[in-house]
Amino acid sequence: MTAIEFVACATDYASHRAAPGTGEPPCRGSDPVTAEVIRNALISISDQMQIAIQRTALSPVIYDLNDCCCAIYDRNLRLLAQASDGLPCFAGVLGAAVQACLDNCGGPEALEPGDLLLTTHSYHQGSHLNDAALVTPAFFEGQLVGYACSKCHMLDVGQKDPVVSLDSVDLFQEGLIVPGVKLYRAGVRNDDLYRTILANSRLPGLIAGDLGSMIGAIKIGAQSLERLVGRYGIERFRSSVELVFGHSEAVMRSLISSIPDGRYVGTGVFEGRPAEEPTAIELAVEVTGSTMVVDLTAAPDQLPFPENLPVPNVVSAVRGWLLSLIGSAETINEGYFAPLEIRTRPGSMFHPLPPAPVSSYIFGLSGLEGFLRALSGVLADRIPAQLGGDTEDVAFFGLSDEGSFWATVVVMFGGQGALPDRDGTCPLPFIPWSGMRMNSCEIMEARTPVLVEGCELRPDSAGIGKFRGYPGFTMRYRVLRPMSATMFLDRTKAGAYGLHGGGCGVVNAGRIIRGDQVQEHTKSMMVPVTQGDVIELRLGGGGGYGHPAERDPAAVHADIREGYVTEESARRDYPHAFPASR
Amino acid sequence: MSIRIGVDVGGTFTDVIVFDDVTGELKVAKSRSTPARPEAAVLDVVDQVIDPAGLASADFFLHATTAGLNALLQRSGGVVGLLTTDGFRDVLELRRGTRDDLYGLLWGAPEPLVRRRRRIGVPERVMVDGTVDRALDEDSVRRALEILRAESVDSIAVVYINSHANAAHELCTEAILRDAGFSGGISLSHLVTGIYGEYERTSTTVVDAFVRPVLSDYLQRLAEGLRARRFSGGCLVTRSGAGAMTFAEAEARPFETLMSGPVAGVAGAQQLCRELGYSRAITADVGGTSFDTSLVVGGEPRVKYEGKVVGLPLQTPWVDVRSIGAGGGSIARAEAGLLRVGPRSAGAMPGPACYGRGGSEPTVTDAAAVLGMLAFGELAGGLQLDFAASRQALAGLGERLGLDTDQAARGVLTIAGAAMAGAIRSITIEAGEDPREAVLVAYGGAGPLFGTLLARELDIGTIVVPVAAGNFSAWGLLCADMIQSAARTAILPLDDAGLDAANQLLGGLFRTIAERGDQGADRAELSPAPSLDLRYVGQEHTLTVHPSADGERIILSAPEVGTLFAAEHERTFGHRHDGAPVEIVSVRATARASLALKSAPAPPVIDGEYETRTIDAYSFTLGRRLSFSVIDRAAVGLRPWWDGPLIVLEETTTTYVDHGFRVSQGASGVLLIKPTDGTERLP
Repeated sequence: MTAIEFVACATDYASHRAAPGTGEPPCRGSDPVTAEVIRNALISISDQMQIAIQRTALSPVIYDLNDCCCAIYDRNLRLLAQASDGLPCFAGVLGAAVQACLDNCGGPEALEPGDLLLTTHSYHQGSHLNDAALVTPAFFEGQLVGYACSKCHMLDVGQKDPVVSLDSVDLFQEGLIVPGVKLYRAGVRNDDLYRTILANSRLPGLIAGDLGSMIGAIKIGAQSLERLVGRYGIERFRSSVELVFGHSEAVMRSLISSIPDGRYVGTGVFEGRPAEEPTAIELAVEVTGSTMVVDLTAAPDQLPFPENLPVPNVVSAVRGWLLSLIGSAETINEGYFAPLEIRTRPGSMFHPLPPAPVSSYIFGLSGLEGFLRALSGVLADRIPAQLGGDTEDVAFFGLSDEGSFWATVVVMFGGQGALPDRDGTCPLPFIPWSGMRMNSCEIMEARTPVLVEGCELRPDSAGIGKFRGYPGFTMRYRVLRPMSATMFLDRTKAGAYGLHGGGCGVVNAGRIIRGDQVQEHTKSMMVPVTQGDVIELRLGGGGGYGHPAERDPAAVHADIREGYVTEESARRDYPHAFPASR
Repeated sequence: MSIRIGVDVGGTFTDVIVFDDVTGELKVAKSRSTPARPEAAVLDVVDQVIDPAGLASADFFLHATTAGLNALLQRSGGVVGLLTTDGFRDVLELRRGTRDDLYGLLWGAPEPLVRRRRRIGVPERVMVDGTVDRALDEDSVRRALEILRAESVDSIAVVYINSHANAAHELCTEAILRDAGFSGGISLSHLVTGIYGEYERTSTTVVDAFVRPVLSDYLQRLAEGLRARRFSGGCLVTRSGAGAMTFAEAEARPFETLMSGPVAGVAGAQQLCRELGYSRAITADVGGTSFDTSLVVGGEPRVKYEGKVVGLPLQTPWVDVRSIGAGGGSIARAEAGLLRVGPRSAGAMPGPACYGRGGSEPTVTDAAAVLGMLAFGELAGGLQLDFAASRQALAGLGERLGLDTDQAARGVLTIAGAAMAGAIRSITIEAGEDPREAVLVAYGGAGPLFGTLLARELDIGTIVVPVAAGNFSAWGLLCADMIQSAARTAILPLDDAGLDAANQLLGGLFRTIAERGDQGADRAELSPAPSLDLRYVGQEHTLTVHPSADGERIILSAPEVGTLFAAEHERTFGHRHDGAPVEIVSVRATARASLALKSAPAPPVIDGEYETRTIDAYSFTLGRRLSFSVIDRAAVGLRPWWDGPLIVLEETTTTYVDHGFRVSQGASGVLLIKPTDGTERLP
């Protein structure tokens, strides 16, 4: 292992382990009952914060796509609870943001009640500069007891290109960097700073509204945490939290212990430039007893393009996938992460060094899917085939008649990969993005000058197998007035993988149709489109599971009847279902 | 005579309650449910409790049914065909891409209610502003009908894009289907919900079409059975969104009955609030498997406009009842050093260990038994709870956690109580309410056990335990108002022109309601109430406000409505955006006919000498065991008040009054429990 740049945080980013214990004597003053009551109360606080944001945010990216998360931390920056329906991609990611805000604002000693600290820095909060993290301390009887914080996607932060950059060469091109500052000091807003932030966005109204919504939420979080600590007293609260962490750690250790010891190697596929071949990224999962090490040091060097993944997000995405092996995971806290260690190599795309660009880090995320593939052999009954597309997006933007800038982002998912015991069931995002919603066509048409011509399944697009993947679908947008479109599609060259003999899904594809002309697009920025143009996305299907010869012939014929597969391809893929024709 | 009959069909039992609101006489009975033909149990239980003359003279038959919900749960509804705008037939199956289990790698969506071959696209397209982009291809509708006939569909759902803006194509399609001789049910999406969001509207319309044949048959058979018994009064079913509607309307809008079960108790709480003059109430309904809570503010329950049943979204008014898996039968267990309670339940079989039906796992009821909260464990009919079995179950649990039996039992009650308090907090905080300003209405078999625990936890000043608290949901049926509603999405600026347009739409919606036919209007006067879903331009979620109206018309000016909205936004979400433009998203028309009871049930009374008993039980206030008085509910009125610690026994429930509280007989026969710390607060 090479030396690793130290990013100071309670989650120890030297080894990317969960925060260690505090050295406080465990369990004194608590008991299994109080701890359970406090555990529930912490979950309820983080959930209330998330509800407050979703109900009040102005940006559809937040309220409709759920691109946000809320959490509370203890004074040692250990995750107490994160909202139950926050994206797994952000599992425990805010610890780094809180730490950075403290480091840049004079440490915990410099905090006062009513302070609100803001960072948008990618290397603090883990993702593109659009994600703003806001933090407030909670005090009880003058003592710092923890933090309430939230991270939300801001639609426009003045990046060089509207909505998203696909070709930025460094962080400075990707928008306004707010490096951990006090936006409010003891309840009083720094108006100069606030106006500067708004002045750097093409959509200042949205920023103002969304920040207001976040402020409301973290205030609720801090006040509720203060009340909870006040009710049980600091000592009893802290010892209860130790018991809660101990419980969660035990649950995770028992999961990892169920995996036979060994070193499992898997490959993720990363698509960079449209003109380049995809890159295979190898990673290793080492299981020893109840501990797991995820070794990402073989990742390629950091890229001159914005698909790099800052360390906090690498850590939280791997955590999200690990939790998905439990299924029905309870609301997360630091305890779950104790048995997990993540190794990265500084200067690699999973440990980029500033100011490497990160704007479209989500494509880098797909390169981490080797985690599931590594374990798919040993956990054959717990891991499905790959999804047809993790998140496939189009951004529409332009100027209104009054000259103001508008933007709409649509998100789509490929078909679910086949499960170990059934066919894929519908389009879904990969686990880090679980909880995001695809747009409603009607709601979109009400605010965007496009008309959706249809969204229908693509027959024969799913991977074949004993169980087949779920097919992809075709989305067609007819443009109603001149505007620009940015398309960012992934998995356009190698389809979703099948498992244990199952076939691959069909790849994602995009094109713009203007009269007789058809242009193919996968990653294209700011394509001018005009009235009558049709933007078409063909989403990929999920991979298959098990050998197709084992598929129930009745299921093959049902698929033909319902139009999921054509008879022609069924005869080719499942000849055993057509005995008369042999 | 003015008799009402309420029948609540649950999964295990069918409960009936008969009330004469002239004499105050109240009768209850119970029968085992007959899921295959639920009307058999309903008619049977009615025969048990009321004589033929009484039935013939009764005014109302009020019903809560799970017939529709069961059809969904068991997938036993009709065969449905779906007509959509060409290109949108897969909307139902594509969903929105969410998992019910966020981290569930192996999660899969439930099968769509309509198989793909029965979903047919029809060339037609309406734009978001209501203009027609592509005319309806009428021949395609006829061809689609031929396919659906070959598939033997029972009903057809019609969902066209943007039909909220222009419903002409849906209406025209219905006419074509009828002209072509289709006689099954037809569900048109703009009539079912009228709200935008094509996946949610398609889902709702399909659910409507799916449960329609089942519910329609059931209600017709039930009505026939009642008529055969010479009942001639009004037949009403409770709605998910509060209030009741006639059988005729329920057949036309079956999806509105789906979640009528938990709503009945809330209607009872509403009635209590009116009688006792409380402006804010929190309901605490603790049954065998779940704890249900809701909020009644200003005499009205909190209503939301979307929800989910077995993973299927429904756009319909919905009384906001939150449910968590913490009831009397919830099982406690040790897990990695923590004590956990629920959501698994011992149910009715085998039930808690103390029921002696073979259950051995410790439940909430067992914990209460160990702590003495159930007093002597005497049940009706001379049955006796097996407290030794409870102690044994709790002792085993305690051993695994290093706790003694009493500590384990206290822990179970504390954790269940804390979870309930958490649910109450979330429902009140989301509504911008403060639980301390509300009364707690405790009912269900185990609700009155938890009253003082919850009051302490939430700092609530008054607990109300209604008459027949264990059967309060059936009682609530009798208290429902008749309510009908219709809604339509229409995105309009909140200015005077926009408000005019909204008023026009409201007029149309009220006409729609009037045209639904059987109003029961000969029995009661319908009073209209318009409301608006508003938001700041750019927001997605809306808030419903109820501006002052003169009949069907809103009489406030646009700025006045804006002020109302800003105040509601600040109360609910903690901030407002002064100066930001506001828009109307949907208009909602509600017509209500009051069926208010003329009197309350008379509380049971005891004449002459009464001797209290005592039992050793645990006090959560003092943290130790002490001697509790034990009295019958009928004895409460013998004194102005009784100081806790006290346990009050009655047939359907047990009320635990901790040290530091006192109980008295209130109006309408309720028990009022208040803290004795001298800081008595009036809500």
